[in-house]
Amino acid sequence: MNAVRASLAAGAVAVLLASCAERRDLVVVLPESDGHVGAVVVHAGEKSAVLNHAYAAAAPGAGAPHALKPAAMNGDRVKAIFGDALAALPAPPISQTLFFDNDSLTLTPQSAAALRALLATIRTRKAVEIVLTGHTDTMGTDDYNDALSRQRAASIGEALAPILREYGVAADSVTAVGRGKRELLVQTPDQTAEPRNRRVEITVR
Amino acid sequence: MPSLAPEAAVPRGARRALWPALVAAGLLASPLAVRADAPIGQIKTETGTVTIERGGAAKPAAVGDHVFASDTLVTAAHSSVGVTFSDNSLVALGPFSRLSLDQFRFDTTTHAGAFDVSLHRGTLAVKSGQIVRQTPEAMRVRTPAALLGVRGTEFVVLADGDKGR
Repeated sequence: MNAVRASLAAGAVAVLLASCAERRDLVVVLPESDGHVGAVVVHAGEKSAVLNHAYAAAAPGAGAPHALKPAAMNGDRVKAIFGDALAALPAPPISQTLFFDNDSLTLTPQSAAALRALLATIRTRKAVEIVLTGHTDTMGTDDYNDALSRQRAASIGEALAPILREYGVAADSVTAVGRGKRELLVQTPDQTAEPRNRRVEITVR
Repeated sequence: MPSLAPEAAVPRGARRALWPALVAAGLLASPLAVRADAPIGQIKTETGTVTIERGGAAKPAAVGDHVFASDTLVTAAHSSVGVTFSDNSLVALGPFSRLSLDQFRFDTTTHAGAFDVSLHRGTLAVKSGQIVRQTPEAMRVRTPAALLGVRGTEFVVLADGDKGR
């Protein structure tokens, strides 16, 4: 009996020592600037855990494959460990929706002003890329609108090429893509003509 | 402002007529047909010494460089790097870090895709992008001890292997 206890105790000490020396990873979910908090699912060995509140953390370790030890984290500890990585995050992409007069390539006055404001931010960024994303209304099939939205974005890309060059954006840093009728600005039933859904979103990243 | 000349406009009536032209131009080809050697992201920030390992060779990285699937990013002491990917994911590494870009697939029309990275050591900060917004957990981060399924959006990871190397 005593021998069994002693052996168990020795085993416990060995586990403890192993856990002190083991490699441990650390995962922390952070609050977003708008207060929203996302989620990360941590799978380690047979176990998994969902981290879904601000500063929720887990420390999966090779020495404890069946445990996901929760870690107490806060903003200061995150900054101490991850400050350099967080500081290196690129500036978030910024977008502006552009509208055109009567399905033409002529920007509405409001959109022209918004475009100027967006382009001003190019000067504050290094290695700028521009993405033009075309959107359609719900008239027609998916395939038709996918093609049309790409074509719409490409046309705007050609129209904007001179001014983008002026802002130092190389032609190969501009991409035109289309989302078809997947991202409606104004929700409508299918097969509905809606001029406000025919638009191009410009993103600077 | 650009000269958005009216003569360049597509009249509304031409909308349906566009269809055969698009087919002829091959514009209906699947956007999934992105070349395997297409860039998947661009380096936007850098401090200190950062290296890109590609096809067995290592080269110094600079702001503006493109990164490709299968690249590995490596930072030295007092170094960091930040990359914006084509789905608008933001990824950054702190000092003494090593990150493999194992897989990146992204359909710019449907936003379907998959993004797998492995953090072998060091620190990683992520703001997930359109791939995760479309398909939660389509971004995965492998560490020495765990596999992370990303549902969004901001998180940090430490891989505590081989400290000080």
